Formats: sequence, structure tokens, C-alpha cells
Amino acid sequence: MRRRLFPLALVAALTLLLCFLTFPIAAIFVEVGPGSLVDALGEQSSLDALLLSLETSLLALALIVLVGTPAAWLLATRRFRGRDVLLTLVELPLVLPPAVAGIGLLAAFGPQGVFGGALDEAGVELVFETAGVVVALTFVASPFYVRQAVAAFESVDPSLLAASRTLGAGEARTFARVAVPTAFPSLVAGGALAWGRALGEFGATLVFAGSLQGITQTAPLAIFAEFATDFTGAIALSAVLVALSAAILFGVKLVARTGAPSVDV
Amino acid sequence: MLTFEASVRREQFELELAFEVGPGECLALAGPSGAGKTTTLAAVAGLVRPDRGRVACGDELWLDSERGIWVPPERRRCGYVFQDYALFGHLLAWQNVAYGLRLPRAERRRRACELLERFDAGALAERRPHTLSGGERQRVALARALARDPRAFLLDEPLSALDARTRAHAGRELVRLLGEAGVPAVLVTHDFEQAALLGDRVAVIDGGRVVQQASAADLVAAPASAFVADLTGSVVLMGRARRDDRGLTAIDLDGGGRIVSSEVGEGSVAAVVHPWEIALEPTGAPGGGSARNRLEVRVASVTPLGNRVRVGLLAPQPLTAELTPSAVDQLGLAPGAAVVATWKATATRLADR
Repeated sequence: MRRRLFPLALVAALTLLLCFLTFPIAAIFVEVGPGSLVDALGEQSSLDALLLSLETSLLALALIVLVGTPAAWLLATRRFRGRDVLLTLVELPLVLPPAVAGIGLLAAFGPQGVFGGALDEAGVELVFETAGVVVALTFVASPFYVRQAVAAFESVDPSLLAASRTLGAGEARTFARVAVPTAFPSLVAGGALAWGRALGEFGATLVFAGSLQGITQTAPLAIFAEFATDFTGAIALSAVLVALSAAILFGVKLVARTGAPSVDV
Repeated sequence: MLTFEASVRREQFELELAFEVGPGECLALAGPSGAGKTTTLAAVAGLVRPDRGRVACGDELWLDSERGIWVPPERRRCGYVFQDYALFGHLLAWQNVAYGLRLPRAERRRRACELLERFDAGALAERRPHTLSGGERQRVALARALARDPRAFLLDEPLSALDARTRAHAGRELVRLLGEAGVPAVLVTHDFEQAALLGDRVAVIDGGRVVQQASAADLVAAPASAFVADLTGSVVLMGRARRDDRGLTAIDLDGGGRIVSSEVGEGSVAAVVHPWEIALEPTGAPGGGSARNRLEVRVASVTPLGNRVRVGLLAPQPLTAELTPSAVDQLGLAPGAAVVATWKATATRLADR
């Protein structure tokens, strides 16, 4: 009897965890009927917020992947003094409170910020602009991708890279034709984490870019704005965001399972 | 002609090697793991940059540290076959072979399939590497290494990833390929039998240095040291040698026992005997044969190897005897049995420790 106790405790722990994690999500869908969901989506402010969220988070993701992938390759393949410090710096936004991230962005790129003058001269405005949202999302979400990408490149079998070199490919070609395709499932997983984080971003965006409908009010900001006046509308928008995030998660699992597309090199 | 002379310094490791390999010749670098074999291959291919040295292949200079010359791996055209074959998992077999080809798109596939055909692997063209067996992978890896018309062949433990059954066939295929290619080949292995099978010459490496270089037969017949003798599979017994009154050399073995050798030696030596020179007798036998050396031993293991049986023996220092299966049956050998190991003084060679 006693030796069954531990497995039972394990099952109980998992059940408790699952209930706690899924109840609030399930409750959103219980609260919002299909009718009010459609109604809420019909509202211009909700629709604007959703489209803005998709637009800014995808832009941020593109920036992160474009710059983060080669940067991660460098961190993963070179051993140099100060590498650990760089890795830690890259991960810093992970542990930063989002509001602090927003204040930091203001201090750097805001009108009174360190680079504010230079940006102003270049005609770039970020605060209260959609571009500012992209900057905030990129700042907060990039460590999720870069961390994963460094780990992904580090776990690529070095003999594959060596084989590519002896077969006449330089480092750039080896990176594009062997390292990225081999690490592809992990890179996609990292991209999904970063995208998910960007979609849910709230604090840094609010502090740095504000909450202007159609310009900087992303879905999480719209939910917060509606929450005070129209709880049903807030819940409906939440339901859509949950569905979108879940779709990303499952889509990624699917891609990771099928692996990298086979391309004729 | 491939000439290599370089030193590589790493933490707790130093490699200092020189060798030459002629066109169509295969040099086998044999030694235990950690001896620096793979590092040497990587240095030839340009995957590791030596601290100092000179590497040349044909009329090309790949490395000359004094003149600051360094050719990166992608411009050396080495046909490198990696230990686990290193096939690209995201590509089909033919795409792996085509990876190194610089041809118009339409021709690449045709040429890749031709190369696979040469190794009877045409049917594997559309397969993914992870669906292939070890032997099939090796054939794809060989076809891929051949695709760029290599100036030199580099093979890292080419047979080790294969099971014993495919190994013999794959070994013959490799010998044929190396003969046809007509370029210098360097092969590394920890297994002396593979070195003897595939190499025209064998260089024994220990601690980053060549300790002896000769044909496999010469290494077996005249090992320069106990290390080489041990690698070739000989029985090595350590002891102290002194001249005895009948013109033979008597060796007092470390841990007890005395044997004699017809070779001349003094002081601390290694006595070397081929396992097939050692005969076993029951303990009560009269012992009137011509063998001068008799050691009481206990059987530790009995391992059939094809048409021979390898018998591991426990004495103060371990021995190995190779017998026929019928002899093993007749003596009723099993682990724990007490027997007498005998061999002739003239079969006992002496080497440095």
C-alpha cells in the first residue's frame, strides 16, 4: 500500500497543476458565448487592436530572426573572452520587469532620451507611434529566440559543419545550407516563444508607446482598456488572443515534428 | 604526394607529427583514442589550424606557417569520410552527394546518381540518411567524398560504425576505391587489424607522436616497443632481462615467473609473443616438449573468433593464446580451468618497454 503512495502523489500534483493552469483559460470561453464573441469582434476598437497586435508582433519577430540568427551563430560557434558576459546581457530582458523595460526604452529612445536628439534629427518618432510598439516587442521578446538559437546551433553535430567545409562550402554557405536547416525545428520553437511573448506584451508597450487606439493599442492593451468599461468585450478579445496563442503553439509543434523542408541545394 | 609536418598545441595535449604519402598509397595512422589521430586528419583537411608546420599536396601548398600561408578547408578538396559519416539529415542521399558538386542544376542529380551507382547505392538516392543502415551510409559518404575529385582521401575510422558482418565487405570496397582513386590516402583507426587491412603502411601514434612506421607485417614481426607490440595484438610481458649461462636471455617477469628468449637484451624489457605461438597443456602433463617457456596459468575467458578461439589467461601478467576450436574442446577449456602455457624461446622477442 505504502509503495503506491508516491505515484499517487505525482498524479495528484499533475492534476492540481493542470486544473490551475486550464481553469482560467476555460473560464474565458465559458463566460463568452459565441454570439457575444462575434459582437465583440465586430467592434472597431477590438478589430484594430487585433490587427495591430498581429502586424507589430510579426514585424518584431522578423527583426528578431533576421538579426538574432546570425548573432546566435556567432555566440554558439566562437569561444572568446567575455562570451559569458555577452550571453548574460542578451538574456537580461528576460528578467527585467516589463515596466522597467519600457522606462529603459524611454530613457534611451524617448524625446528626452540619450538617442532622442539623434532620432529626432533623423525624423524617426517612436513614442506614441506604431514603430515604438515594434521596438518594445523586439526588446522584450528577442531573448526568447536568441537563447534558443544559441542552444540550437551549439547542439548541431560539429562533424556536419566540418563535412560541409571539406565539400567546398565556406562558412556562410555552411551556415545557410547545413547549420540553419539542421537547427530548424529548434529555431522555429524559439521563434514561436518570442512571437507568443510579443503577442502578450503589455507593460513595456504601455510605458514606451502608450495606448492609442489603432496606433499603439495592441490586443493586451485593448483588453485592459475595455476591462474597466465592458467586461464582456474584454473577455471576448481575451478568447481570441487565447485561441491565437494556442494555434501558434500547436502549429509549431507540428512544424517541429515534420522537420526542416527539404530544399535542393 | 602528400607531405605533412606540423605541431598542434592544445591544453594538456601536444601533437608533433610528420609523414609522407605517395599517390595511390594509403597510410594508416593507428593508435589508442586520444593519441591525436583525428586531430591529425583535421589538420590535413584544414579543419584544425596547426600552430606551426607545413602541409603540401601535389603542387599545392596548404600550410606554411613560416610564410604565413593557410588554405581554408573549402579550397583543399579533401575527400573526408567522417567517423559517423556525417551525412546531412535534412537532405536525401543524392542531395548529400550533390552537395559538393559545382555543376548546372540539371546535371547535378545525374552526376550524383552516377556516383551512388559506383557503390551499388543507386537505389538509395531518394532515401533519407536516418533510414539507411551503417553499410549504406558508408557508401553514400564515400560517394559524397568522391564527388569533388579529391586531391587526397582522409578516412576516420571508416569501418568502426559497421557491424562485423558488413565490415569485411565494406573493407574490400574501400581497398578497391583507394586503389582506383590514385590519390594519397590517410586513414586513422584504433584497430590494428583495420590498419593492416587498409593501409599500405602503418604509422603507430602515441601521445601525439609517431612511435613506429612500417608495413603491418614488419610491425607485427619487429615491434619497436611494448606499446606497438600490444597494439598489434601480441602478448606483452614486462620483466628484467639478464644473460644466462647457455647464451639465452632469462627474463624475470614482474609479479613472478621466469621465461627465456633467444634474443639479446639487458635490464628492463618487454617480452613479446604472438598469441598463436602459445600452446596450452593440462597441468599434469610431463612437459617433455621443445618449448623452453612454461607458465602455470588459469583460464579467464574463451572467445570464439571465426575459425580460431581466443583464450584469455590469468597469470601475474595476463596472456592471450589462440587455439583451434577442436583443441579447446579436447582440453575442456572453461573459465577457471588451470593449465600450463608453453612457447619456445625462439618465439619470444624482446622490445623496449
